[in-house]
Amino acid sequence: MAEEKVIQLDHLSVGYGGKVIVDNIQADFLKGKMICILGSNGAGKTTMLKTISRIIPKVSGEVRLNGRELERVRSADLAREMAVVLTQKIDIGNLTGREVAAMGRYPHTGFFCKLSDRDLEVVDRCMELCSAAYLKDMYFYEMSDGEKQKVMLVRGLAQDADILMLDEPTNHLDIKHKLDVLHILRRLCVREGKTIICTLHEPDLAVKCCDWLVLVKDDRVLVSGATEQVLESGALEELYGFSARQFNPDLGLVQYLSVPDKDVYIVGSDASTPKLLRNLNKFYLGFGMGVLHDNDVVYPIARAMNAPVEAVPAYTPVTEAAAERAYRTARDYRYIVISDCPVCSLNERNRALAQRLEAEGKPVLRLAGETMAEELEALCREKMECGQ
Amino acid sequence: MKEQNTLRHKGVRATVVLLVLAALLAVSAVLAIGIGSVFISPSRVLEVLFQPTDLTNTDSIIVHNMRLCRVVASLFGGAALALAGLLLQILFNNPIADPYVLGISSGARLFVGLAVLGGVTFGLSSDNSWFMFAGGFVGSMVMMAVILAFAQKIKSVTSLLIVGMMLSYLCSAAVGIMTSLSDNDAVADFTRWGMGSFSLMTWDNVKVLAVVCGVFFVLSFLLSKSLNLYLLGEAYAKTMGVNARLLRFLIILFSGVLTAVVTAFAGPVAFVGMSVPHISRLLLKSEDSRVLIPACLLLGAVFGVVCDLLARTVAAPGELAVGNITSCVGVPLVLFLLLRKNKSGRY
Repeated sequence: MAEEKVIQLDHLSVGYGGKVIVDNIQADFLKGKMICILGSNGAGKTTMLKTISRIIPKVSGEVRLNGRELERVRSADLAREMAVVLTQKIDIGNLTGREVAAMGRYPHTGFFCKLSDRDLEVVDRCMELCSAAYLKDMYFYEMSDGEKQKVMLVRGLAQDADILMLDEPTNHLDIKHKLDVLHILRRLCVREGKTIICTLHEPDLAVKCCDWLVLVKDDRVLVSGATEQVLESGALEELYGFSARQFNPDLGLVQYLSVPDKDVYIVGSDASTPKLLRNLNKFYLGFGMGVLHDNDVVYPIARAMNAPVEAVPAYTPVTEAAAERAYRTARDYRYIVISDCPVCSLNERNRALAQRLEAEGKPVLRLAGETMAEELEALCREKMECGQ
Repeated sequence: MKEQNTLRHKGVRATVVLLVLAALLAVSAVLAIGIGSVFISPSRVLEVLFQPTDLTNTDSIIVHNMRLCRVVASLFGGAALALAGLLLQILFNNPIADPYVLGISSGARLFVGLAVLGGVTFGLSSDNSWFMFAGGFVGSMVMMAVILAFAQKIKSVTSLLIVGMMLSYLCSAAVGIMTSLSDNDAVADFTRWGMGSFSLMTWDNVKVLAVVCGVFFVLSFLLSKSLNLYLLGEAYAKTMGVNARLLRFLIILFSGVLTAVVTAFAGPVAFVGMSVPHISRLLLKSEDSRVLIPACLLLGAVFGVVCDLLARTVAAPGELAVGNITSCVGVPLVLFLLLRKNKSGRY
């Protein structure tokens, strides 16, 4: 089946009052896909979205909606083909959540916007879908910003258009509701074949939900492509100025970099190691690790934190050479943490490594499931006092 | 279901409010016709009202030739200003907007002044109702254009209201200079008219007022759907099929015409446009233009009739300017709104 292009951007330049913000955009959006425009603050994501939805006029180039020039589409038709949810604050007093949401049905109603039973049914279903049913009878001014945002989303869904454009739909929402909203959008996309175009500030969430990414930086589109391609191209790191390992595309993981100090060396890994790494980061302690297997979940986390990690391929024994390299590195560290993991033929050299370091008189910590140690916190304070 | 009930409940509420307001209007109009230096009982008023003018009957002469004209004028005047206020509030997305505060009434007043005083100088008749209306219309449109030009630069509505006030003072100053320089009988009437008063209304004026109001009331009501969508802001309105530029133009045109037609004959009547829509919202607990417009018209009419009645009875046989009465009612309301703004952070 040939993939249907719902929206085509051809040499499109967008901006305000003739001033170009994003220049020469070349991108096609396919039907039934979830597309995310990513970019730092002020990159022009919203401007792009507003231009594609004809809220503001384009500067030059062309936008095509289902093959037709966007300017030639009648307003009333456009409203039935494309629903838009923006972030701007709305201040209306005496309207309940349900009344605002029901406005989404207006493009489907007659001259005096009389809502039919079916219209009300759609509105109620959308409210349920967004778990916003409790907002039905609440007045708009009584709602929190997040709740208002939710009602506006319901309004957008109730418009029942094939294309849904959302400007930062996760704005004002807590993490649970962020995930919920993206889940709802994803489901609409997969189950009902709707095309979703949104802007997000969370590359990790975008990678998890969206089929297609458009990255905007410095007046231009860096790349527009399928999520996997974009990830492989490394453009995401370029977009946010991440250093190579701060963002892990496979896990969709964003990590703070570890400090480069040689404070703690961790031998092996166990279930609590990811938490330990995070805590070390929080207390500004640098760490190294060895010897890991490269399918260990800790491996990409430690790499994303830019820590030195000694690893061998999965399901192969730790080699003599790897253990020796780990030993040489570990010698320079202040503390040794020995992980609480069962020993087998694949990792028995780790035990030898630990014994060797301990025999040398290095202070050794066995955390046994703990995720932080007093000694390490003391080390942190000591470093702070020394002005490090 | 509960929510179904809420919607129906709002529908019932709207019907009740509209019926009560209509009844109130009828009662206040009949009373206003009856009350004055000569009191005519309501039943007598109704009796005389539906008969042709009988020149042998004093009551009939009083009702038809003196009071009816004025009551009809105040009725349409109040309704028109209330609607103009509502439209401007939707346009500026702010409940404190109204033709008087934004200086549109003052602009209309200045241009009517120019037309009347200037027209007399150039030998034109000041009696021509359409001529006065045209003056007022030009004035209100010029003022609206200036306000909108400022609105492009100033995003804060509060600042915009201050701009309106400043312009209003400027217009008053211009009118003052004009009156000082003019030296004819028109000045006395013009001064009284300048404070806002329905006392100078002639049947000729009332006809123009009624025709223009009737047409624009209906036209405004036909915009209900777009007006409702405009509540969410211009961007959203656009995405839901509203031609925002056209709508904005129509709101400006309609509110300008309504302000102009009242100001041309009754002078600037303050605060009706602000207080009536707000009270209507409180009564209806709704922002839906489909019920808000009729409610504003009815309540505005009641407001106009009652304030005019007060204006001519409180200090009888002397007469107060109706603009002063409406200010006395309107200003406390504005202050209340401003206080509420600070409390809830809205507006």
